[in-house]
Amino acid sequence: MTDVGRNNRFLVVTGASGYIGRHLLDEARLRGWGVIALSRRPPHRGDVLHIPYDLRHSLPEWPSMPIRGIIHLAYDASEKTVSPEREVAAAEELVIRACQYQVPFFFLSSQNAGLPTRYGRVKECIEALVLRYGGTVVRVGLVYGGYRAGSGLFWQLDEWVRRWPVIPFFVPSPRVVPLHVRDLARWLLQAVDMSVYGGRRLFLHGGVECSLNRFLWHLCRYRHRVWRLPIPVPLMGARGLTRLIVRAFPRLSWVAQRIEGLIALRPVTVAGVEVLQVPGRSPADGLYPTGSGRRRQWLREGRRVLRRFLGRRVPKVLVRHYARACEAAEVGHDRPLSRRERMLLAIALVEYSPWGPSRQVYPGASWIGLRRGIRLIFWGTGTLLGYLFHRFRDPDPTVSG
Amino acid sequence: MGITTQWDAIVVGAGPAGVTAARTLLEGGWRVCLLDAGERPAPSPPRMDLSDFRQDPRHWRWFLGERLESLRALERDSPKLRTPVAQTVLRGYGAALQVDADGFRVVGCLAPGGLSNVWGAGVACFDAEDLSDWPVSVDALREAYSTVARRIGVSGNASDDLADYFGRWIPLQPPLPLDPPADVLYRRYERHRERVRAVGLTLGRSRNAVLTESLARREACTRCGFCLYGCGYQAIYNAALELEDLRRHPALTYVPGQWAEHLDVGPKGPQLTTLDRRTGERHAWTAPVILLACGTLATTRLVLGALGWLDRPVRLLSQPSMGFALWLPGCLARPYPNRFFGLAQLSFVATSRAEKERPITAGNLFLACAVPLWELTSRLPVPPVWGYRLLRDLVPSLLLGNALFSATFSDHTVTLGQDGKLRVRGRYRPELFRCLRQVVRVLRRGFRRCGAWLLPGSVRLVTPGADVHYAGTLPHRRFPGPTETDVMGAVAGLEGVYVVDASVLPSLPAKAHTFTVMANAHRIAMALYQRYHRA
Repeated sequence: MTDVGRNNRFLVVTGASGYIGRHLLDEARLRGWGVIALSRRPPHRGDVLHIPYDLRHSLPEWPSMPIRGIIHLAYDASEKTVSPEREVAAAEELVIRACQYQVPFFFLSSQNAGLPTRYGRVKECIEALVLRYGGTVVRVGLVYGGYRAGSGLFWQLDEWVRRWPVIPFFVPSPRVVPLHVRDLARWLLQAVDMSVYGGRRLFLHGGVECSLNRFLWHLCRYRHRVWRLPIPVPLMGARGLTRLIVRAFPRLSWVAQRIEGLIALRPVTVAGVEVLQVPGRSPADGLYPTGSGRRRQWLREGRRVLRRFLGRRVPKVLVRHYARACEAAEVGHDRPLSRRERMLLAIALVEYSPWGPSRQVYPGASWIGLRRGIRLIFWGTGTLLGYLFHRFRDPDPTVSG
Repeated sequence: MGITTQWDAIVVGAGPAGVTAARTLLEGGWRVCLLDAGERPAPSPPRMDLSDFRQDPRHWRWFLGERLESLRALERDSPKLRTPVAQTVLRGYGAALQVDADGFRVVGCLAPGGLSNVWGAGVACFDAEDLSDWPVSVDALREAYSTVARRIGVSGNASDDLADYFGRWIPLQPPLPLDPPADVLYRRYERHRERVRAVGLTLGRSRNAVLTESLARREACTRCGFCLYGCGYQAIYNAALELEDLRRHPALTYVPGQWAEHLDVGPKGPQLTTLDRRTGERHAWTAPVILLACGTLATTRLVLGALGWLDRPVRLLSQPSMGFALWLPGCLARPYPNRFFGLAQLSFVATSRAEKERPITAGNLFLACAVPLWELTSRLPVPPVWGYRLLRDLVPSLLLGNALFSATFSDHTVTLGQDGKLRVRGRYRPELFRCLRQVVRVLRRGFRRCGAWLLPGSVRLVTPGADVHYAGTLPHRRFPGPTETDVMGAVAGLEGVYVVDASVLPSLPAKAHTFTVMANAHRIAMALYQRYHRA
């Protein structure tokens, strides 16, 4: 902990060392929040106040600080150490503490709350409890992106794609509602600030809904930049397989439940759940290591545009500079570069490079001169026609000659 | 003299006029305070050849700006004003001046050295006919021209066809060697001189404030090609360089970051209020003499405010100018030059018999290689890919030209409103368009006889004000009325206030006027010095 004392607003986060917790801490610190992190393991940041907390034990006291909200993320993912009753009791202690402080309480639930699995039942119980105390239940679909932390569902898929040469292609494919972890963290902080969601059960929809197969394909293509062979898997067969796993290896039942939860997703619109549209990003962008697809877009465009000017394979350094220039142009300007301006940028980059026309050597061979002459006549005629068209369409009295 | 305050004179503005006036007064032994709105000098380009420097793909930042400022400034007419250097020094001027311009582009500089940071370094002297509206004779200005030319260093040819047009009496350094397309054009002109002059076109070497022989700390031009972005060798005159020298003078107090807001004349003499751009504080400055040299519009604002001349327009002389492109088929297939000079190489004068052989326009020719290819492409009315493919082979055989017209072809006014806004309104006169057609005919015929083609569609009038050729809001008059100045630049009703910048020029012929502004500032400062010492 370094500068928490200087903040005038604090946030209590349980499960702060988990996947979503870490990203929430980063976003909160970025926005000037002080954070009290309740977790078993110390959080990855030194500038938050860590208080050891285990769901099996009662809620510890924390120092008197201007608390603005409590976000409950902690959940025993292994489902071995904490009993369902203790999970619910821990949540109740937290929500009661929020009522004492008179601050909003947010419980991060799942799209699968209510499924006839242990996970689904526990989440549903806690949801009911939180709503009874006037807290907010936040359901999310598939949370993805960011950096590796914990062993959430996304990271299990990620590990699969990284390790195995094949990916399952479910028939029919279940639909998922992906939400980038940074978008989720940003919305949670805004919600704490606004505190208008008390007593509501919300489903955060990032504006994108896609098939699980497509999501896996994007994971291969944009995050790992690899090709994986899709193996068709009948959905019914996958369900049977998970049941077999549960019977054969009872210790792996939690993995089987995750897979089951993934392929048997509950629909987004169920009774008693409000769907809330939040600003999100497409999986193609969010799965990119930087969390944004802009750089990739500029690189692709740069390769294509520069090739038109160079007429040859484009040196990578030039493409990189094209992307950097486009990114730099977006900083501090309300208007992005127009297409014409980006074309001019490409010309400038070619011009200010070792491959520019000023470095071209003109051999004296007559056929080369002839070729260039034909080229000039061709483009000259094109330009003249373009000029005449421009003049005809938009007569300008100041232009003459 | 009776001067008891800290300084004998305050000079407001560190542009060419302000620095010239300050230097003249300092040499006369005065204690001078120089107030400048600029804070940081413009960045200086590297000391290497342009063709070598642009071989590193990282250097696009230098040419386009860290945030691609040049690409976003396509609305500016002059390539020189689109460079990142120009963007840096010109930023924020219009907002600081609170200008409301309609049909007029306001350009001003907030860096030491003023607009000399971005000038084309063209030098021309006004002749007797140009000075016919002035209460000042040619002889009075001649000595000032020579003094200033000796100080800033002018190169050119004293014996070509344009020697009379530019003025023969100023000391000159040898001209720079011509680069291929300009060289080819000039050789053909010399071969067919009589035929070309018969259609009303005269060519000569340009006069530039560029050194071909070293002068004090400044080095001679190496033809590195960086001219558009400034000069790392300091061969191109910039008032900021002279300011650096002056700052070592013990009698000079230089205060940067002071934006002149308000001028007042009380019983204790003139008083100037400035806003410190760094701290936001206001300061009051008094001295027996205040010389205003903060640019035509800023000076006009101060003077009209001090006179209480509100909501009443004063005339602004604005020179129309145009640009065009010449193609020399004889230079096709030449390689791009590795070393070249990026400013004016040749100058021309177009005359008309109807105008009794008076120049109706005059201008300069530049190498197209000096202007970035992306910028030339942006001017073509075709998709950039087409434009690029056409120009990459064509550029070594292209010359770009600009031409100035007399300010009599424009009607512009400046008004200081009650709300504190400076309104600039006006338009070009219809006669200009008739004249333009005539000029284009002369140029097309004349250059055709020199083996060059005026490219169709390339002739374009520049937006009024965009090339910063405006002046004359507070003109010198023998018997000055309100908002006019006497031969010393003194404003009637403002005791102790003298105007030395371009706002005192009574007329603007078809010539670059910066050199005349500097000479006039020197003349006024000399006259002031002599008057006070005689007293």
